[in-house]
Amino acid sequence: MHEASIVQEIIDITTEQAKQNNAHKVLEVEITVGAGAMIETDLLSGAFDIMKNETMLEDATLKINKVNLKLHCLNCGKISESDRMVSMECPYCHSFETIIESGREMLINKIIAE
Amino acid sequence: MDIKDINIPILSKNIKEGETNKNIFESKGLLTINLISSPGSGKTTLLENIAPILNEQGFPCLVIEGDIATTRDAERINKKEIKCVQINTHGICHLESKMIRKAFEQLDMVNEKILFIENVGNLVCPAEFYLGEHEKIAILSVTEGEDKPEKYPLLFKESSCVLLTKVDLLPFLDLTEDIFISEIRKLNKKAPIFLMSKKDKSSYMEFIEWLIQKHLSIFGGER
Ligand SMILES: Nc1nc2c(ncn2[C@@H]2O[C@H](COP(=O)(O)OP(=O)(O)OP(=O)(O)O)[C@@H](O)[C@H]2O)c(=O)[nH]1
Ligand SMILES: [Mg+2]
Ligand SMILES: [Zn+2]
Repeated sequence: MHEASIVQEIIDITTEQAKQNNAHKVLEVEITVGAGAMIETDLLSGAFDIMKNETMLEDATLKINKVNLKLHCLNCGKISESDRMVSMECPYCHSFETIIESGREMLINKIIAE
Repeated sequence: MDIKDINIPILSKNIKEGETNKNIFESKGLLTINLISSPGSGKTTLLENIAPILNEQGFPCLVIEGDIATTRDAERINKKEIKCVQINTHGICHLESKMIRKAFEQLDMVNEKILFIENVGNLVCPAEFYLGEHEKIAILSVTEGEDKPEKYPLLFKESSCVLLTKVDLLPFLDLTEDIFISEIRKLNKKAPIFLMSKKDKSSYMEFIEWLIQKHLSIFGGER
């Protein structure tokens, strides 16, 4: 439930980037959210629509690209993917000796501004 | 205009602030511990019990208490004559690096060697925010049930040590410590697991020794 903190960071970083590029208005922000980032994307969008008011992002849309959580099993070697946060169990051999390959990340990829 | 391929981690500022915190802590010789657990697992009780012993052993402590509201935990710690400052997050479910720096500046540090940060009671969000700590520690009380590590895997996977608290209550739960240990081990093969109970002060000693060894391994010196 820390979506508001995340949105504040998105607004701050985007504003900084836009200013550095001499823009005065942001039209779109594109972000990546991993399924293992512990963020509910619907809540993120909701918070963005409220918090963007009276900022450079007032008219901006938030585009969210979700990426899967990838688990690499050290027991059987297989890689499994999920579009949601899962337990760390390998679905093939049921081992818990897994490492997260990707899907924990949260990135700002692209900003469209004018 | 398109500002493309920037790929900035959204929490990069918090991480940077955390690194600044860590530099400050290291320059002052402070081992910093981030305590994370669900509400009521025994974080404050742990600090009330171990801080006086650490003090006697030559490793005095500072405490930053994180809570959504109230200063009750800080009052408990202050009663033990341990320097403590309370952060009220006013609804925010976790602590962030900047809050820690502000709070730290309010602490009147003299010769303390360990800084404990009691995070807001929550098994999910605090695990996502680096504060500049040396060690992130998960606390699980036996009354929460043995399924919690599997249900909240990230914290248990990423912690450098797990404390199993309230083990005096195991007999009332028809559970054994082995069940908890094997459930924690599913997610974390390496982290030491310390069992403790407020009814048995000697149960804190192993963890205290682990903390002292950590301090010595980072900052050198002898006990
Ligand atoms: N029986 C027993 N009770 C304990 C033990 N440790 C803590 N408690 C009790 O559990 C309750 C909660 O303990 P706290 O230390 O306040 O827990 P906390 O994690 O700091 O709680 P929050 O800060 O509210 O998240 C208190 O009533 C403690 O006395 C223990 O080892 N055994
Ligand atoms: Mg507490
Ligand atoms: Zn497997």
